[in-house]
Amino acid sequence: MGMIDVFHITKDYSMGRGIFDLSFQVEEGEVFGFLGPNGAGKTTTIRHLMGFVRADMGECFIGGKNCWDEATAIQKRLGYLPGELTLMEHMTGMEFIRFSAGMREQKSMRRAQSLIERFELDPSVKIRKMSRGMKQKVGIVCAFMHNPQVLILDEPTSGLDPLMQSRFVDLLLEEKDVGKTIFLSSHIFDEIEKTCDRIGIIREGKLAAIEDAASVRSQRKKTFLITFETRAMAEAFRKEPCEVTDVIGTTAVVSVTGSLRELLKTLEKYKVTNLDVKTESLEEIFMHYYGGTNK
Amino acid sequence: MISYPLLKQTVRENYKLLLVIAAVLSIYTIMITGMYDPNITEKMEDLLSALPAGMLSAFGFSMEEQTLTGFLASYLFGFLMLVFPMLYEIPTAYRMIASKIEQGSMAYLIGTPNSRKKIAFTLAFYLSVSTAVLMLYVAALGTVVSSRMFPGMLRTGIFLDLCTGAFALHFLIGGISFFAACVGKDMGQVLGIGAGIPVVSYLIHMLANMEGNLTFLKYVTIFSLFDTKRILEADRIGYLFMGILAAAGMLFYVLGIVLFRKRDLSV
Repeated sequence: MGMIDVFHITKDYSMGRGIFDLSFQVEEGEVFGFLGPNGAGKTTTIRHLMGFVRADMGECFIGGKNCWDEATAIQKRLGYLPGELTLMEHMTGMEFIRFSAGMREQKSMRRAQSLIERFELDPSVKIRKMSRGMKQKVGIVCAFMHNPQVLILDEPTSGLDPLMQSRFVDLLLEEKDVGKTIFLSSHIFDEIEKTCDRIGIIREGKLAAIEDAASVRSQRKKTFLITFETRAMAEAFRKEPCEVTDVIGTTAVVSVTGSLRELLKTLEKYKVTNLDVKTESLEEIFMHYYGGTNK
Repeated sequence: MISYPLLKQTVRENYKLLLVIAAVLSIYTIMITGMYDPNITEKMEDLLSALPAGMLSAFGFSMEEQTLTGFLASYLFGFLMLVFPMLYEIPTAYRMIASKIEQGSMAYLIGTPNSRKKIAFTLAFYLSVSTAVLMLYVAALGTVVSSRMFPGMLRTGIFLDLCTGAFALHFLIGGISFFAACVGKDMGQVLGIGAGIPVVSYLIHMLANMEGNLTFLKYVTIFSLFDTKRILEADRIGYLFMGILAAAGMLFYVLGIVLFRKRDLSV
């Protein structure tokens, strides 16, 4: 058994919504990314892990304990960051953090304090008056402050600015180093790519694939928009041994899988005025993965 | 069985409404006691003759008892002590549980290492104990005010029985609201049961009290089980009714907790 075991869970909310026969395992000390578009069933899966809802069929376990029957025991060493973060609006950030600590019978606030400093959170503000990002920081403090062995994080970086996102990634990597098991969901590929060992891809409630993050990274197709000085150059570039998918005026669209060395070498011969990276959307990653068989 | 941090937090979230209701009941308790006049018969008859009798009895006002205790039973326990505590219990049960499920902050309670049973029990404890505190307060205030204004005229034992009966009634109403908040799938269900049953019961109670051929309606409303006339006469049936109210209240609280443990909480 792994640290998190999901065996054939199904929760049918009808009209095709829900999760269907989902199975996967997360090993102790592993960071597992759960990737899928909005509405694919990520949060539903997490609600099963948290013991909030009961599966129609199948069972899931954390640390060998049943997520529904033994939720209370599991939650002692678990940190949870909800996706749709609703805190108690009338409290200040600090009141809420203290309340959460109280509910856990947690005495020391030292780690909470260091997280507050790390994320530059002003906890004296009423939650009602907080921005999305500030609330997210309060949620992060509450999820990590009791030093849990297992972390379940639903879209953890939503609302955070890029600086805070990268601080969050650093925090995850530190936790990973000390052997925590982390399950995080996201609909943004890049966010998961930086931290995860393995990636599970969920689509329409079904697990489409589980991949090593390293192999995903190496197979991932990147698209570049390269602008040349002249049209002739762009046309000439079309004949190079690169995967040129289109030429629009002076700009060529190139797809690269894996290493960039070949492309960079080829480009040395040309006068390049601009180079843009086109971030692949989740849909495009799926297309790449399944050769367009998924919608 | 009780989570003290949650209890403390629940008190903080709800004590204001309790204070408001207590303040309103204080004003009425003092006013109504002050309105009592040992020579009330003539004065009240003048006043009441101006109003249709049916309307007065609908609100539980009657001329049957002219002692101070009877006066309070009619005027304080006939309307004010029925309605105002409901205005505390129904919204509080809703706010404590259903609205937390609805907007999602319940995730933060059940996501902590506290069992759902402990969380639901703590909330049930708060609602029933705070209702008891409200009734105790009125009992104490009524006793003190009466002894100041009309020394020796209040039959304290009977007055306290009236307060106990009112508590039994409101323990049941709170239990129904709590149950609804625990099991309701959406706002409609929660309010339909939690507010609908008590309010409709009260309206039926008003109709049943009116003179005429609607008196049979008293068999379909929980308010009939708080029988102030029988309590005034220290009739055993009146106490039996109180026992039924309390037992039914307990049943709803227990059912609420049991079903809250088993339900899906998509928070």
